Amino acid sequence: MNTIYHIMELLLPFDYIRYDFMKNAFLAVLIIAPLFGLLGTIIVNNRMAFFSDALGHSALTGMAAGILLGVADTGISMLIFGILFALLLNKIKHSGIVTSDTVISVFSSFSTAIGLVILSRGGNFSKYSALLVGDILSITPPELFRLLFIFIITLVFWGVAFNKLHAISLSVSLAKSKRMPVALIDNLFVVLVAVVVMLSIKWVGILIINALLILPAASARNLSANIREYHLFSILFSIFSGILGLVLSYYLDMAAGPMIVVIAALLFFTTLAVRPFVKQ
Amino acid sequence: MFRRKLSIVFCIMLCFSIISFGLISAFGRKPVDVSKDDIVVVASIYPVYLITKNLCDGVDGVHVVNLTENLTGCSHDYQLTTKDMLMLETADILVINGGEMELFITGAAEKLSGVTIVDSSMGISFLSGNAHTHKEDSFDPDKNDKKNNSADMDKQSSNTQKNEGIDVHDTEIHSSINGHIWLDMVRYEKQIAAVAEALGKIDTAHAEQYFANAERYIMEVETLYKEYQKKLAELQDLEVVLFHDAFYYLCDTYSIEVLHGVDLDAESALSAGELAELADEVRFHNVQYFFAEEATGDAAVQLAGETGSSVIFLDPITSGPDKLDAYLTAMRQNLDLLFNCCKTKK
Repeated sequence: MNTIYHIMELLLPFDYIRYDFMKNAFLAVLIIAPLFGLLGTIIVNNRMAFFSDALGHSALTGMAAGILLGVADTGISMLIFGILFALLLNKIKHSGIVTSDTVISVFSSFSTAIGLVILSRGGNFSKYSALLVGDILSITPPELFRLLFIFIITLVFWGVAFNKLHAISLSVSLAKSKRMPVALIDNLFVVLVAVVVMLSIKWVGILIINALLILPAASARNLSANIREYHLFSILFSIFSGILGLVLSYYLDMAAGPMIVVIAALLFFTTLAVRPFVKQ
Repeated sequence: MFRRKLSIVFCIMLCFSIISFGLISAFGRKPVDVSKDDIVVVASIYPVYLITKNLCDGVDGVHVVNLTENLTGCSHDYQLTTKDMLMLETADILVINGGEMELFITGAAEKLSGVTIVDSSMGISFLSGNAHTHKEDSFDPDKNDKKNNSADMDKQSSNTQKNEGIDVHDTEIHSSINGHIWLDMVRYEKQIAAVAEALGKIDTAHAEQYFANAERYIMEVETLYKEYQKKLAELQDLEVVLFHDAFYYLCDTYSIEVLHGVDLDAESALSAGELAELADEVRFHNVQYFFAEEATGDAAVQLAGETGSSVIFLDPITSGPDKLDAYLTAMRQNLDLLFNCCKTKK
């Protein structure tokens, strides 16, 4: 870890990089941002924005379940609950009984309410309110490695299954006719999103995690004409807003997570404005 | 085509960077003017900041900062900002209140190196958090009294000690230590002494000044305490309901009996069942006063409307002006409000 710190100090001769917590946060942004940019592309394509939002909110219930069961590390209960939640939501969504936005809304509000009911027992919700906004500055090296690990898994998954994933997002029936394991790939993808969301929610926060997933990809979609551009721009925007947001929050004394989202949102509006000139 | 797009993307990013740079140079943080030899003492929350500021008053080369300067409510839901982290990194001494008041620091504190942490609650006994008496066993006032006293626990011996099922070291939702010790003037004096002693050990050169300041400040607090001791003697047979954990200590100072304590945060509300139960209890005991903090007093006002009791808004001294005598002023105001209860007491 010290070698990495040393390299960062050499490469980035700025005032803020002197502090270990800024180095950790910087590294976290460098891992989380491309990860979110990547996942966001498919989430936006598949119109799953609301889905990932619901997933973020279920973190509250995961944490509450962990506390009820007396799990020492609520991160584990959040992770398990997130995965189950994503799979169940996906199953009901595909059963086609109720329209998907209704199902998601029901799940989202239900899980948020359960979480709030349990966590606010005895008027102690404030203990957990940190989860709402997140705190990227308190990330530690072991947690960074955990994020790096899931980042690598995501890259591998992308390498192996992206074409299938893309085919499914274009047309499910087409993918089925090509004998692709549609349900499996789809479930794997939502599990991956669930794991990424649950592992990073403590740093990013429930209220803004979805913005980070959606905004870079949405901005990239405004400009790109093919999948390659789409990915490249999404990751670029994601990293850019992450770093700029972090640096701005340092100098202007504002919370880092929301600042990153503000930058990402402004990028989205800018790309929306220049879109007519690019896509002729 | 792709190249054009890429250049547009980079142009956008460049514009954003330039605007940000402008913002930073216009509104950005100016570095704190501290010379290298200065000792930086960071106080975690307002009450300990007031102690530290008083102790370091007139001491050269010591710089006192309040970590949670912008805090308005209780410290339980505070979030460290980048600036706070920075301040902690540059600090030589960190003075904390203790008693789980600084949960927001725990994560960061592990990473701090070269900072000496001074716990002002060393050797001071805590009341247990959310101690509350139930309807069934509160009909007998003596029994009730006993319970309140047994909630008094010594910090050092509390590892094994349990109070009616409440373990102070258990971090479960319902049971935590009540850390607002500064609202009891006697405990506050002990805090002053503890911080002065710790500062004197670390910064031996100024030890005498710290001790002299401590003596002066403790005297001031003691005078205030004594002044109201007689005036408030009548309050001892008064029963109150508290809407903030902090006021347990204020009641503890002058032995005011607490019938029930409701700990409310800005985010949580009383459930209908709790409210009804509380209203019955209040009526049964004919409780005349509710002690609440202005910011979170809505429930108290609501209940008062139901039962005809009066709400008294006290200051938990979790935030306030940056003045040396801020504690004494706020405390005097609290005591005056209590004194008014006595006067109007039927």
